[in-house]
Amino acid sequence: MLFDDTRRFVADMIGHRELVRSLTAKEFKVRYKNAVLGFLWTILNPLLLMVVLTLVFRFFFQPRWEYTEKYPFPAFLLCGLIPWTFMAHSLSRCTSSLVDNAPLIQKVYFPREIIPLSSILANLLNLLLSLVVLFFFLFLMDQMPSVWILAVPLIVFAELVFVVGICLATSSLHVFYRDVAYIVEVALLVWWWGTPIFYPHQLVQNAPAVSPLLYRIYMANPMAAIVVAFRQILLERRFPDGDLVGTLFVVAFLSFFIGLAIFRKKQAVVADFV
Amino acid sequence: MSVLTLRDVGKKYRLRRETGMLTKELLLRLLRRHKAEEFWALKGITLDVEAGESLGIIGPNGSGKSTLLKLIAGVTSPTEGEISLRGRVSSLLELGAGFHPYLTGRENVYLNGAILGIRREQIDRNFDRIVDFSGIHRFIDTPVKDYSSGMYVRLAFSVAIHSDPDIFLVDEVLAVGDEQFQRKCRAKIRELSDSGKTIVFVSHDLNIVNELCDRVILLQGGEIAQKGSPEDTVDFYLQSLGAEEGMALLRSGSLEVIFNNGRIALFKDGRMLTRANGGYSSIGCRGMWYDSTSAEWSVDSHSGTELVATGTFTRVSISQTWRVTIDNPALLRWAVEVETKPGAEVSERMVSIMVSPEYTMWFTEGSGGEFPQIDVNDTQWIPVSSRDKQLRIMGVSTDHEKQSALPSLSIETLQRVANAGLHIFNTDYALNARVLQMLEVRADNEKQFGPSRELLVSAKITLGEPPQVVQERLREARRQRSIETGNLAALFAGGSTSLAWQGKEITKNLRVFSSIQVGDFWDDSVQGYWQADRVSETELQATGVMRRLPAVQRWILKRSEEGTIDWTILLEVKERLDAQEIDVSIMLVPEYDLWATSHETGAFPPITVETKEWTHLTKLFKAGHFVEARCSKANRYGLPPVRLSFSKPTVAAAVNTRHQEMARVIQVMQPYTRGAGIFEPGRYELFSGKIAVGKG
Repeated sequence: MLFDDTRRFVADMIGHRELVRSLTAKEFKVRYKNAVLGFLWTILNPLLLMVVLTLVFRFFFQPRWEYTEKYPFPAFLLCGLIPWTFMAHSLSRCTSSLVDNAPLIQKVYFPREIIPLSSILANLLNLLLSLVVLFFFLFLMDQMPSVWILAVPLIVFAELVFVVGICLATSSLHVFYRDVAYIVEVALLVWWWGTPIFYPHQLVQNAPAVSPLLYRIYMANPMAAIVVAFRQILLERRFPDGDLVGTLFVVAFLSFFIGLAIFRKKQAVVADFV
Repeated sequence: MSVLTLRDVGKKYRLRRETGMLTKELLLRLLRRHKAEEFWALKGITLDVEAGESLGIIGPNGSGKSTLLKLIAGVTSPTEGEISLRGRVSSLLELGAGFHPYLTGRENVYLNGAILGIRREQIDRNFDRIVDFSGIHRFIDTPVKDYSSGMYVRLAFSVAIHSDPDIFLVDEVLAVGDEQFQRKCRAKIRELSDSGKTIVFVSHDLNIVNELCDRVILLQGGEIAQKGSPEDTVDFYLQSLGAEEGMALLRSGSLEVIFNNGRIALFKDGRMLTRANGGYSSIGCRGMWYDSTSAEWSVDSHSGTELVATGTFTRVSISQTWRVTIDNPALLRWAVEVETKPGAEVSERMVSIMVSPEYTMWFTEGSGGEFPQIDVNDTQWIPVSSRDKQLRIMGVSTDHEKQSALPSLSIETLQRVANAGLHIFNTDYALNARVLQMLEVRADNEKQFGPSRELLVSAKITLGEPPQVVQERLREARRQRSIETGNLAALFAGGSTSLAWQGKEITKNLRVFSSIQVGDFWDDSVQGYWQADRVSETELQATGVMRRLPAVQRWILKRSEEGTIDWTILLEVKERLDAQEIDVSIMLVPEYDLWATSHETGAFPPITVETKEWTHLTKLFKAGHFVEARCSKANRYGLPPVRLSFSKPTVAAAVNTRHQEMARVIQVMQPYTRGAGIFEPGRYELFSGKIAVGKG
């Protein structure tokens, strides 16, 4: 049943690849069509955040974190900001995507998953472009990535699976409960603090109040695992910790299965409620 | 082979349809469990649609039509039962649902195509055809947010119609774009249907359903109430209607009249006589036509044989009241009163009745004939009779030889509306109907007027008169406007009077008419707005308001000695008029070959293709007393001589027309040298003379 759903999902997406492609292209084009800098905005967002945070930490907080002193702080930040931006933007856009596309859904049949999926894929395209910028950045800072850079797609894939899962859940739930979008916004705020983006995860690991169990729970947050994995690959230039990646994949697929199950259960009547 | 099968399909909705809040729901769940009320939008629907069939779905609002279409489209799933489908479905449900305003027309074509499930190569292949059909060549690379709503819809329809599905779902989308594009759409859908596509069609427009569908099902309260041939089902539907808002049924014996939101359909012995809109009105206001079918209607009062309904347009401050009364199974009356509020600038008003193409003959009290066939290539309405302001009766009938002939239908306007004329048309191929129309055109200075309530039409519609009665009534109506003396009959028709000798017309084209030249233009009497009254058995008086001059002509036609009619034209001038020339003419058939005036005689030379101007044959511009046309001894037609004589000595001329008109003209000319043709306001005698036929 679990795998049935997944097989159906994959088959649907492949069968409708042209529609997926068109809608993704539309999402991507439309978002920046009227902006002067066009799709540069896609990259500017994490870069600006990086600049602001770097300034704040350099001049105001001046934290003495062992980990961050080994690597350039902007690079450290980007490794967290880029995967985070992908997840956060996807989630906030996807949650209302079915409702936003109500006219379409009420009139034409196609697998409904395509709507959140195309929105995610448009964001994925952003992510990939941002990664190119990140690599360029690392190159500028003399942080030539090692061969382990080949592990990046693995982590991106895990993140994609995870994001698709939660987006399928929130987008379908939002159709029936219109406060889901608000809940998502609040959750993102908490999540941001709960993810080691502008601080190193060692800070949590070494905090006296954090027991090893609590730390395990903390790291079960896939975003934490993704950010840490990114840093291990790009900054520490090694393959990320095995149990980190293992947990990440388990949680990502769990999210996917649950999200898909919720979506499948609701999708037949989505058109009656959007 | 059936391409679409529904078995016991039902769809249940929760009545409380608004969506909840998760937080609230969770709280409520803790406190108590509540159950939403449910209702079945559809229940027990079993249906097979064969390949190549066009199925119509009709029914009142809320009967489940749209739900059924959604289920077939797969947009939502049934609560119970099974739907199986062979092939790809494409909906023309709502056009442009997948359009994005910021994308260009071209990008949207591809996007919309992908949404409708068309392969990219197929769009590539059809791209030019799609753009051609939409007519948006120049703007195809402009973002659609800059399109007018008409362009938007045209492009969307064009994509959908070229998506080439196995099953086409059409939902009320034919009401898109301008009239011309609608016709194109209907023609295209008809073409698809003819080419063997399966079409499922939902519409409120029963006539379109009737026209386009092979089979119709009627939904009522979510169940199939009736299915069968379009005529049977539509008829059943209409009969089962109550006085629902905007709809009413009148019945007397074998005659049924259905009023449906600004249109009336006529049924006689269960057969539908009208087509498309049936009887409806249109009001021209600032370059737009407002059809009664687009107004908001309510039936104010309704008994079995009479109804009063009021329709209000939402976009212009015009409303109208219809009163439809059935007197007996062969006679009904229809009156339309239009109320305009200040600011509504009405330039034209009309009422039309579209009738079955099975009617092959048309008639008015003046003439009649056979309808031309409506051809596949007809994209325009084609006038069958010219607009005639003098007529009161027009009608249609079938070839009476046939047993199954439809009853004849004739309309007689009971109250004269100034400046209104009757027309008969063939529609375009897609509508495939005959049209009887009364059109009222206002002069520029009459367009704007304050709040008013005016009768647009008050008409009597008579059905199924026996042919001899039709003929007799036509003769009677003719007699009202004709003077007969011996073998000569003169029939007045809107500023042009025809002359017939022994029942055969000898005049043509403009016939007996007058014209006044002021400045560069000629104002012919035929262009005026005329009204004729019979004064006595021997005298006819007609008053015509000139179209372009501030003047009124009054013609007095009186029977004189045998074969002779006295003709006087009085001119009532309202504002100072400076005329260059005034002519009084008779246009005769080209068989006449000789002419004569008081001073000279001559022959009419043949009129050839080369003859491009009117040619004066008389050489002497000398005042005389008559001008005459006759046939030479050798002329095998032997038509009677026609002589126009006048009491005051005046210059007369014999003229050959251009090849187009192909006529001989005898005329009295009154050219004025500068300043001599000034008419101050007052009454003048323009002409006084005699038309004598068959003398000497």
